[in-house]
Amino acid sequence: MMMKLQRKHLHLSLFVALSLNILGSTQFVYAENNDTSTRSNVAFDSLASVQVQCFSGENELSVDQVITDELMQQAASRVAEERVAALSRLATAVPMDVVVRQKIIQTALQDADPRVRGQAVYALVQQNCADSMLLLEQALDDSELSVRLMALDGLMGDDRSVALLKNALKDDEQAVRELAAVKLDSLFPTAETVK
Amino acid sequence: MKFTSVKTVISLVAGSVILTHSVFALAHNQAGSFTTGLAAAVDFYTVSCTNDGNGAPSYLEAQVKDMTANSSKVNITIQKGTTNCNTNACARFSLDSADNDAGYSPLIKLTQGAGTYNLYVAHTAAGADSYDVLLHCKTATNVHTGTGVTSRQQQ
Repeated sequence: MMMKLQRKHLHLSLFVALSLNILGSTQFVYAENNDTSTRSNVAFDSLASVQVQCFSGENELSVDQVITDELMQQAASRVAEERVAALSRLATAVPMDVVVRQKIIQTALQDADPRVRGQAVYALVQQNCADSMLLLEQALDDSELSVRLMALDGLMGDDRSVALLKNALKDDEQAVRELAAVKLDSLFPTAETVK
Repeated sequence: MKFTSVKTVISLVAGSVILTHSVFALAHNQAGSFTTGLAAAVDFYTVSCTNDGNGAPSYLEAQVKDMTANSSKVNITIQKGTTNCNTNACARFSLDSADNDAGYSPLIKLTQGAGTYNLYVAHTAAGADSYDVLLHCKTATNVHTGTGVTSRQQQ
């Protein structure tokens, strides 16, 4: 009788313990699956058809294979935050071959997660790539606020940028209008901008 | 003999569960993002420092990582109390000026004992910014103690 009770107790303890551990693992699995599911749920990705072509810059760093492998792995992660982190690093000078950088950015521009797309837009602007302005123009049409904000951030002071900044003053989102106004103010301190 | 092996199994399983959960209890991250993108956006959290058995809380330490590389930079302010602030600071500020790396902003400490601390997360300009804040309530001998975070405002 005593033995049976102890066995029952043991089974109960094992069940509770394993359930707790399984519950913990399930949360992680759910998080990963959830992340993957967002990839196929895009409202409107204005960058889906964009092809980028980047060139070596004047002050190109010599290629570091360890960093290259590390960044490639991070950019291919199933976790969106990791992909964003890889692209954040590409926003500065990195010792990577320009072709690899271009491939990473190209893939990221088609990512379903808007945070990844936005960071890819910003990373691209920091490279020496053809049609950057065209890409920024398309990014300003993205349905996601974060992508439009990143595109605005990448605009400079040339005529085309100024035209796009002025156009952004009519955006539905206050944050976009605010950022466009701040950038125009910094370019033309005396000019009056619509807020 | 059988009892010994049964006890060993129970101890091992229970031990693994306790270890798993205590590791999570020690890591206090608060991730978030500014959903409005506005320059004036402030995310507000309260951090509760309690004695969880490891000792009475003496201070809260915190630092932030700006996880989006752009012109805007993320910063935090932690605050507690309103009296004798010149003796023991009531508020501290930390900015992550490098947002394209894995590093956090400088570590800040606020020595205001047990209770509720306010945590404000802001950014320097309009933009898409996400962040991760590390928070730890500690005793006077730097032992990690009860830390709880509650979100109060998301902008």
